[in-house]
Amino acid sequence: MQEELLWDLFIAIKKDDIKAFDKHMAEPHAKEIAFGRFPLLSLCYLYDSNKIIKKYENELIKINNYIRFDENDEMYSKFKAVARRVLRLYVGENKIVSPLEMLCVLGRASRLEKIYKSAPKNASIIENIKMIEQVKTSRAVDVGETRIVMPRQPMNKKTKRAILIACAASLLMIFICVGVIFGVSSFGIGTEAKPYVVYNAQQLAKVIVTDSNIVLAADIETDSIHLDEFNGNINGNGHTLTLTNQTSSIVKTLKGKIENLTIKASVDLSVDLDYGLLTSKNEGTIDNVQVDVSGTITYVGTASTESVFISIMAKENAGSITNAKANLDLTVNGNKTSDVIFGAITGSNNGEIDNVEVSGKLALDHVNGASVAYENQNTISNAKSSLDITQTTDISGVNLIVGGIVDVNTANVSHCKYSGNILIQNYNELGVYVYCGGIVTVNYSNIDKCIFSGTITADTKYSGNRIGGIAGEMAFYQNDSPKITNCGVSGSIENKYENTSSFVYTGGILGYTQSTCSVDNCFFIGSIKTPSEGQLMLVGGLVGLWNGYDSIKNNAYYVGENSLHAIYFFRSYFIGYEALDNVDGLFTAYDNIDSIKALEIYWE
Amino acid sequence: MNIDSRADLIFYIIVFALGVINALALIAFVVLISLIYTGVILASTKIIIAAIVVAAINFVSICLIPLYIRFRKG
Repeated sequence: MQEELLWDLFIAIKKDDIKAFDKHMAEPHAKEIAFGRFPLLSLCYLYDSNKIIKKYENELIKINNYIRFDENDEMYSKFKAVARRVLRLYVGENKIVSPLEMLCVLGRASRLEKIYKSAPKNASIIENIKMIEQVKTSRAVDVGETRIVMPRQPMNKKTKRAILIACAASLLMIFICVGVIFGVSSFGIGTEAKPYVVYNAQQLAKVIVTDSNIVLAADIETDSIHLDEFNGNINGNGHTLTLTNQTSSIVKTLKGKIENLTIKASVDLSVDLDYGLLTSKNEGTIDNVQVDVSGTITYVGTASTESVFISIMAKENAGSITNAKANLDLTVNGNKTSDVIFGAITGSNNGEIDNVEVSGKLALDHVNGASVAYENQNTISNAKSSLDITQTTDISGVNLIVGGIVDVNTANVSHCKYSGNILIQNYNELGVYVYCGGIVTVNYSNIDKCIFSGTITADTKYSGNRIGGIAGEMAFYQNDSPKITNCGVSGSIENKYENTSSFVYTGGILGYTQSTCSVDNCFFIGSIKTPSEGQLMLVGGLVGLWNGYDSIKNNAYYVGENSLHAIYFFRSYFIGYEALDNVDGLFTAYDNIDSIKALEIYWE
Repeated sequence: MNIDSRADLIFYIIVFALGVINALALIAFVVLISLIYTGVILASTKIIIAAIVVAAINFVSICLIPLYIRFRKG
């Protein structure tokens, strides 16, 4: 019976079961029990029975005389494992491992110093403590009557483990924090130096505000985007922004910068005002932006005096558009009464357009237009277009104006190339006026270093045509004598009217002019086909109708199968028109293209 | 583990506080990154500052461990 109770007491200590221990302690002299060499408190220290220690330490520490029972193998083995070489101090029947000694054996120096004063001690205990420290740390213990100063103990496994875990956790968290810093930084904070990095449409919708700085990190598809004004910077970083339901301009007024971005949009729009898909007005910078558009834009407004401008990039450009591309599969419909105008890059250019490229297909119905800009009042350079343009209307008496690069130029167009196909169709018996230039339709200023290698076909019942490989018509404007210089044509022009009372002004370089203007250093190696009859047929290898005799210099043309004259010169109302083929220093006819290619004026 | 001295106590308080701060910070950071990625909130300098503060706390904690080792008795 007694053995069972002692076993229960041992189990209570081992499991730190305070309730079970309390029951035993209620028995008389229970606190004086020692399991062989181990008093209760020593055993509690050995088994880390902290609850029991907390409650009974002050009482048990004072016990000096013990009622000894047999110790069991388990407690001996545990003590042996921690005591190691100091075990020899406790060999013998009368030996006791006092609580102070047990703390010393366990290396709990702080605890030992703390309870030393209140614990009973004798010379043997003090000597043992000194011996234990000597064996364990080879250091001396400073012992007094009321105080003991222990040397620093080597760390036990648990402490080492705790420190290691703490260090590892801290290091891990530092790495996580560094990761978060880099992670958050990788999303950017919207400044110019650290723009927002956008991965998806939700993020884009959140960050795109008037003055934000944005970099795309992925291709993004969203319904639509609309900003009234944008002063920040959108860097597409080579990614694509797909708009599935864009019904307004992405940015009404662009004062910032959009760059390195491809925009894809499928539109089916009815607009009643001017419209620019990317921006209505560009006062900032559009650089390396490609816009791919397919679908239909229909003007349903009622404008009567003002022209209506439609563009897929900028309705009006007062800033800079460089390195841009437009790829179209688009139909633009007018309303038959309003003057609706289309320019793929811009409707009206007052800024800089350089190194742009336009391709695809464009159908204009009751709409005038050109691949790059309808009107140019500043600079367009290095524009290339292979856009196939079909312009149709079923009404009569209107001016059909379509240009390879620009429709109306009052400034500078240079280093531009058009290689697409222009088809103008009108089958109204009463006819239309066709104005078409492979580069510029109506030129009031300068065209330099441009090449037309596409086709122009005017397919009408009756027309008054002013068609030229470089310009359809050239006219005097604001004291500035218009010029075409260093341009070449290898494309073809065909008039297909049926009514023989049509008026035809068609030239390989220029269709029509009655102003003082210049055509210098140009060559024509293309072809012109036209019906054999017409009321007035002025079809020249260089110019259809020419007025400024002296200002045409150093040009060459290929006479071709139709034995083209160079120009038709208007002498007077009495004499009429004079066809000229060769005038020294002014223009020369060639019957083979290779001869022209050998000239200094030829280039590709 | 036995808390036998003030050094032990301070050490374990620091370790416990660190655990709580780190656990909360970790959850907060995961939530924040998710919210940023999904576009609910914007990345900002405040989040970066918070991460720097948490990293600094952990760094200081690591620096305190030698002090604990120096002043502990056992």
